[in-house]
Amino acid sequence: MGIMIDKNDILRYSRQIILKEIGYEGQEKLLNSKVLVVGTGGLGSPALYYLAASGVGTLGIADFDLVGISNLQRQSLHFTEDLGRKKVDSAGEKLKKVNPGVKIIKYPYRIDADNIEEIVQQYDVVVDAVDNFPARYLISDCCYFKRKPLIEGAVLGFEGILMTIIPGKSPCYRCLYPMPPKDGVIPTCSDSGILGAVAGVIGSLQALETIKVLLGIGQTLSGRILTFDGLSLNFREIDWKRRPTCPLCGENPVIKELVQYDIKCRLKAVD
Amino acid sequence: MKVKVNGKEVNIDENMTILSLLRWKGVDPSLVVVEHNYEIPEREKWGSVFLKENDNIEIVKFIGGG
Repeated sequence: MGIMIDKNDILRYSRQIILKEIGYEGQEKLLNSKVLVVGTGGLGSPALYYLAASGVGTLGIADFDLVGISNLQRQSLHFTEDLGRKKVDSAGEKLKKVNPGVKIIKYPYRIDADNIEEIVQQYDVVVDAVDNFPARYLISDCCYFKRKPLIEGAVLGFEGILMTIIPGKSPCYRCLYPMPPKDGVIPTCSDSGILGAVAGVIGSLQALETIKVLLGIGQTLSGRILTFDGLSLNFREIDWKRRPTCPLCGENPVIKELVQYDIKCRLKAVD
Repeated sequence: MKVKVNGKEVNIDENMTILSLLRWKGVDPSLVVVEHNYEIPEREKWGSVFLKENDNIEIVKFIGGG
């Protein structure tokens, strides 16, 4: 194995090394793991924070956006003084402060069909923390083709959804949502709103699932869908099977290469 | 007859399809996917799948924000 636990780091990670499911061995696995988080917003911020703090050795962070003032009520890695900065720079700096030992690789551009494969193949697990459907289909298709576990989380309003997708084992994103929603029907966070704490719940769960997949511990959510309604405070679990007619992982797949969708949301974004 | 929708028992009329259940619940079909007895039927078939007593239906919204 590559990186060993440094003597100084035993104290840093002591509260999780003490967990019998993790221990020294698990901690060394984390230190040698590489996770890509696409999106450093409402979901990506808490996911990245906990992954960095737990000692995941290499974190790839992808976001083409700059920090805007309407981001700050939920995107917890970005502060008022960061307005106008690249989100990857703002996020990377905070993560380094939380845990200087973590290696941060930044991708400050839009992830698209031409560049995603080269990026994804360098990582053990991918966390989908983006804010739009075209990127979600791109990431999920790419993870399927590259056989990378994908921790898929999304939020809107007071609601959230979480899936852990293990290619070849669990259902894929398209088993649930075979094709993107029609143009013009789906609202976005900027149109419909989102409460920061709701994104925090789902983003934190994404970090938890990522660590479980990396370490092979517990029961991951694969084969189930978790839905969260923050207003009634309900978590629901839906059993979920592979769809034989799935366009990606079904018996006669029609999606054989990456697709760049252009889906228009219901209203124009206000920020 | 009784069916389960998102974990809750509801009483519905006989001869309801997935599509008429959505309409009855006031759900816009273009905003959701539906799981019927742990299978996910094609959207095009929602109007022809009739619900039976004790069926299990999950209505899952398209959620894509982050």
